[in-house]
Amino acid sequence: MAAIGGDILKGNTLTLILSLLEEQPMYGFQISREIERRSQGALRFREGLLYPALHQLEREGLVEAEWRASNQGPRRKYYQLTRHGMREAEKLRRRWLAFAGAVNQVLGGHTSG
Amino acid sequence: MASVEAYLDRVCGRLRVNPAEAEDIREELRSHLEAAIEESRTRGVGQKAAADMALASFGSPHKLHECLDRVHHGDAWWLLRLKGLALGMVVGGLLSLAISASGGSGLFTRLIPFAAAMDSARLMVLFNGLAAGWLRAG
Repeated sequence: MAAIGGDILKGNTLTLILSLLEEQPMYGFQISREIERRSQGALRFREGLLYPALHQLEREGLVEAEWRASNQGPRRKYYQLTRHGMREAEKLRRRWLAFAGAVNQVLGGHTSG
Repeated sequence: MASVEAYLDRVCGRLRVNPAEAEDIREELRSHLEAAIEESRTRGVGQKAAADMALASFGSPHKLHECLDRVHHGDAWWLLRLKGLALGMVVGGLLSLAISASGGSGLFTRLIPFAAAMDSARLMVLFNGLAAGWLRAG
């Protein structure tokens, strides 16, 4: 699958991060690999830029971070949603689904020509 | 891992955060890079190539430094100073007015005896310094 980057990905990075964290607490490397795996490699971004995004979410009180020991190497910093973050994740997901649905309706019937 | 540490120096070296926070950020980034290198190594990639790939995927250290600095420090230094100056002028101005209104013998100057001895310009400088320091610490 062709890689998707640029503004489309940048504008939806927070939606992706918050949606993944809704499922379970994760650390940065895990988040980046999970996005890549689920999108079958289509969504790829500069991995370093995940951290300013996570730290921004932490400062806004949407996630909280905690260092945890690991059996497989150095300790890892896990992020999990706060109550406020859960509400925001739900809001962003609804907004994305509405947007994607509307775009699909506009494109409908013209995607296989 | 010399290349990883050199990369982290460029990202975290001059971040305007306290030392503990800088070390925390550095450890988190290092942990990601080491995991990425280990992932490549298990696929048979050599150590140096694995480190090069991990750093390339991480992106420009300059850009990452800028983004982290913006998130953790907020405003640019000049904007911070400008805010400090504005706040200092407001606080200093109000104090000057309070001293003038009390005629140098009111409750205000009894609470802060040194205030009566200072002219308004010095008060502004003092409070500008305090405000700038407070904003910088925040």
